[in-house]
Amino acid sequence: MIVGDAPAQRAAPRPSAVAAAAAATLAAALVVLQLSLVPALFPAGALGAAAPLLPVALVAAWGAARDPIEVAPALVVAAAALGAVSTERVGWFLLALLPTAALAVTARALPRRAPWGRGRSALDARSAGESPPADVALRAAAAAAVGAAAYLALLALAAGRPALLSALGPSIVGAAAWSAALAAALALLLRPLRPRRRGLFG
Amino acid sequence: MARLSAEVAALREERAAAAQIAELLEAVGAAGLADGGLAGGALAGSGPGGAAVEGRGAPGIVAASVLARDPSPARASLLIDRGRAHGVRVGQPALGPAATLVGVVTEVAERSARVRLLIDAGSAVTAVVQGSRTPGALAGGSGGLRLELVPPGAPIAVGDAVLTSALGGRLPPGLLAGRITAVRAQPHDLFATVEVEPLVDYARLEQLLLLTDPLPGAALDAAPDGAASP
Repeated sequence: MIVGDAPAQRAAPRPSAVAAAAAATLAAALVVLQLSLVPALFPAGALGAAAPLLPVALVAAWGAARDPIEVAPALVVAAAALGAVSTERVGWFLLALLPTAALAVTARALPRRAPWGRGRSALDARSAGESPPADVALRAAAAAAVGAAAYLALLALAAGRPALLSALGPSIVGAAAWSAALAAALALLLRPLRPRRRGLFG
Repeated sequence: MARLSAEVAALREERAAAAQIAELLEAVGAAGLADGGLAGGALAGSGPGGAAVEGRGAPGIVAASVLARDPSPARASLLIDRGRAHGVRVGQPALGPAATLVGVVTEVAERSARVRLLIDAGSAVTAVVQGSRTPGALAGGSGGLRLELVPPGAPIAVGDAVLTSALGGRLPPGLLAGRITAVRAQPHDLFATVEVEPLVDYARLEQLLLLTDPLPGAALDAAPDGAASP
């Protein structure tokens, strides 16, 4: 028996505290960009802007490329920073970001296409970090798109204006599309940093 | 005769408001706003480098830069870089290009403040239509500005200017706030639907002027949000 070659006997990668701190720092930087650069590049009309949601894209991309657990501090940091400049409470921003994280977890559990056969979950045999790049990008994009729509919808509901949802429709679609594209690109950028299982001989 | 004297009183009030605005513009010019002040479009959102604000100590006026916009899609407010230390108080009106009212100060910290824009869904200020002096409540919402509580038969028309009113005593009267773009009223309606076009591109606001000296008819700090609810 060759110890260390069998996938089941390799040590599973664990969430890294350093990676979590890096994600939180990146989230803070992206919130600053969200508040400064995005309004300049995507000027809002009377009904808001169809602009990318950078924190949503980060959470989706990080969850797809690495481990969704690692973005927990980033969620708190992003929500606190957004809430600090908003009349909305920090808790609503945290709640609005949670669907993206939940979707990232769900996306990792989806069956993957290759190379280990159909129907096998990414959570079993090997880490999702070993999924093909297209799968990672697709999962990040899907989580970001749905997450962005949920983010905007939740904030509209939090403000007590459900009627705003229909008016915000085009903005929500635009924000979802931009966030998905950004999340896919970010996931591919983060892919080299994916955690790998380590065996006896590395 | 009574109607004539009422019209004369209204015209006098309007002239006084216009004089106040003229004084305000002169003061702004004296304060040295870049490129010839408001007339030169210094506050028209010409870019970070093109609208440097100097001389922020003009009496009764505080010029402020926009630090951030509210990231919530359902809110329309701005964070500005002037606060209690600069004489900013809750309820003070915030003016944009061409001395147009764009919002009201709702929160004040030591060195920053928050301005709720007129287009915010929770904003409502008392207003009058310039020509007919028809009163109403200028409210924000997802579809822009609208003048509420206007009777169906009110003598208003598309193109009329909407000014702030002294009713409620919270804002100086006569500040330009918008222009009527549509009036719809059915005989059975209780109130007419009056759409108002903002005269300012709220998405491009970079500098604001805050009126720190209460003008006649205004009672600052009278309410926590400085706005009247219809």
